Amino acid sequence: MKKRKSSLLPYLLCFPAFVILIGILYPFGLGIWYSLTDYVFYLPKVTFVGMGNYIKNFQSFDFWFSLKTTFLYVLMALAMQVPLGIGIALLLNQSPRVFRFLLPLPLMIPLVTSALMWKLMMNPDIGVLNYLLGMVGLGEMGWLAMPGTALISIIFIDVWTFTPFVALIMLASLQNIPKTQIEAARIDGANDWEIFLNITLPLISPALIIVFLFRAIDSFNQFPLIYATTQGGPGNTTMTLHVRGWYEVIVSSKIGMGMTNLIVLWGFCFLLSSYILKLWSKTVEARK
Amino acid sequence: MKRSKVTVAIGLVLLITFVASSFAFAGFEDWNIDWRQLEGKSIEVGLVRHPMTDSILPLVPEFEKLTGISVGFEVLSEVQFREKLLVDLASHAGIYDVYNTGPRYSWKYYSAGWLQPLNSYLNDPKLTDLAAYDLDDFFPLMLASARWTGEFGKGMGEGYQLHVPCQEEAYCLFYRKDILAEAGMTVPVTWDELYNDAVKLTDQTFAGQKIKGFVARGIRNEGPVLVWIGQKLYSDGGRWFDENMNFVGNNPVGVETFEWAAKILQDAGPRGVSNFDWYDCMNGFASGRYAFFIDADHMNVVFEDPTTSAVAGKVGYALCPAGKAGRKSGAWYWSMAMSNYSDSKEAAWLFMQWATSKEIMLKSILKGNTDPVRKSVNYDPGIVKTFKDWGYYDMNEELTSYARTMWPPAPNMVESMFRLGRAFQEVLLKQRTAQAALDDAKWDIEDMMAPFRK
Repeated sequence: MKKRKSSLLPYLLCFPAFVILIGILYPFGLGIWYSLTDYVFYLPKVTFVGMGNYIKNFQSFDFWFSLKTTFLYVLMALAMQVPLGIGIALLLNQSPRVFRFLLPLPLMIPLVTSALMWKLMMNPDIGVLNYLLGMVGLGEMGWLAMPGTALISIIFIDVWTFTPFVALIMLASLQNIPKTQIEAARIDGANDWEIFLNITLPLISPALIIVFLFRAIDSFNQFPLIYATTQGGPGNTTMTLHVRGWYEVIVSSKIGMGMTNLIVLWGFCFLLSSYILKLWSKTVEARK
Repeated sequence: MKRSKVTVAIGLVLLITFVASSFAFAGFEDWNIDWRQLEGKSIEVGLVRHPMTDSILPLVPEFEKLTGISVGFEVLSEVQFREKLLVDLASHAGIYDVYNTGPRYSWKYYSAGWLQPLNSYLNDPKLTDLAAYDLDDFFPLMLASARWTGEFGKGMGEGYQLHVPCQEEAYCLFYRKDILAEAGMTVPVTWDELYNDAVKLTDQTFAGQKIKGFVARGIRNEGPVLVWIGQKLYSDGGRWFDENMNFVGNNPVGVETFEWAAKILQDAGPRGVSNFDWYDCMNGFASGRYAFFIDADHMNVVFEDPTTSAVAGKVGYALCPAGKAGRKSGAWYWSMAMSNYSDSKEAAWLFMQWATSKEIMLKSILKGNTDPVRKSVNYDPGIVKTFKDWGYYDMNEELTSYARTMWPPAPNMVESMFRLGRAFQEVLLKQRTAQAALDDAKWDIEDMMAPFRK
């Protein structure tokens, strides 16, 4: 009798986690199932179409354009945020504490509010940015309104919003570096750049990899910024996979087709996450 | 002294006459139904943030007092509301018993089985006093757009009553009276005149402000084709679909319309207009930056209010210019519909009946719910006077012959309009020619419509 009680206990303890797992996996599984059907909200019949939606998508120019736009967004956002975040963290590590309190302010503003604020500032006709450009004699820009500048303008807003996140994590990591190692290197004649490259960077790399992972997933899935500023336009120029999925589901009611876009997006996030986590494990192992 | 007393007396009589005429309808107690038959029930109403909603909400306690039915409501911005409603209806959750919608969206909701047609409620004498509710008091075009047989591309105005209108939105030309007077111009009556005048006024300075000649929505959604580009197409005798629901918007009239619309924004519009939604245009016009603006007529409330507008008293209103086939406009009617998943349908209908009655429609319009859907409201002396003071055009013409639902009924009509919105942006941004953009749109729209063809 006693033995029976103890054998049930582990299952009971795991039960809440199991329920949560089902709660997570069920909608995900349903999403995959929908992507294999021709489910449209307002049509009564739902037919299994296998990979039909995926094939139709892969044959579409718009899909490949959205995929390219998504990757461009992720790459450019990361290429700006990560070095900038590290740079700011290095400066803050040696500056008064007050700046550390100011740093997370952009993160505290709701994303849609940030987007609308920047949309107003980037208005080519009445926005403050063109006014400032005009004051220093530079030409006026189209910002969000022109195909050539819309994507980079949204990335700029993304960088303004999320660079503080990168900087905060990097700052925490920098503060864990033992000062003795840096002092020893300095006594040995190493300059600042050599210290950063050979001591600081290797020591903050596990945190850097995690930051990279978070920001990459967030950038792949970015929706509010794009929707609130351009709704995927002008033309199709900021139509990432996520926005495209939204259009298919909400505007067109095509659940099947919309889910296809989102599952492809998830696939890229999953592959990238797996790779980055492996890299992180290796880095952490190497430090031991 | 005697004279002043007479003046006061006349003033009082006029005031009483005005107030009495505003409330000259029978009270709800005189209706031939038992308003308290569902006492104790509760309903949830989903509404969009809109002057119409703002004007009806303060009156809801009157309904609760009259019926004993408690009313919960949620008010969201239009886009958020449509998203939440879609999730509610598609999941059959039945959160909302009553919701705001209109012609194009109701076609989708009805086809999906999400919307409860109202015929059985209208014809139930226990629930409806047809004489007091007076369906014939609604403007016929509005009521027609709320009825549909469910047939693809036809049957509008017949069959089921899908919803009841509570606000109309037709499209008009707003113009600055002071600017036109200073420039020695008259109100343009043709599209070519509008283009020429707008270009002439662009970058000119009036009242110390450099202005642009014209503004209208340019954003990538259904808005531009709905609120202004369509009016040019219809007035030139064009249409988006033929009687067999083939897309014909890429014919010469459609191509010329897109070219004209892109050109007026390129030559006389503000920079960045391809990202302008209704609120960008409305706020810009209210702050005095544009001479002409085409959009929904109910923005008059904003322009005439000195607290929201720098141009109050300076705005003129006209129907959109005439084309080869005269003046024509599309229209949208904010309405109330009943969810098929409501578990309090009878209580929901009592609310809808109350909210769209003559009494409430009149009260709401005096609180800012322009424009009217009922004849008795439109011809009310108070309303006639208010519009006259604004220098408004003849609403009767707008509501009876000028504006109507121009899109043929189809479950996915909204989707095809979004597709046209994208095509217009491609032309506006000079990425494609109008012919190429519309040809591509035709291909996609035909694909969208394919599941509904027999």
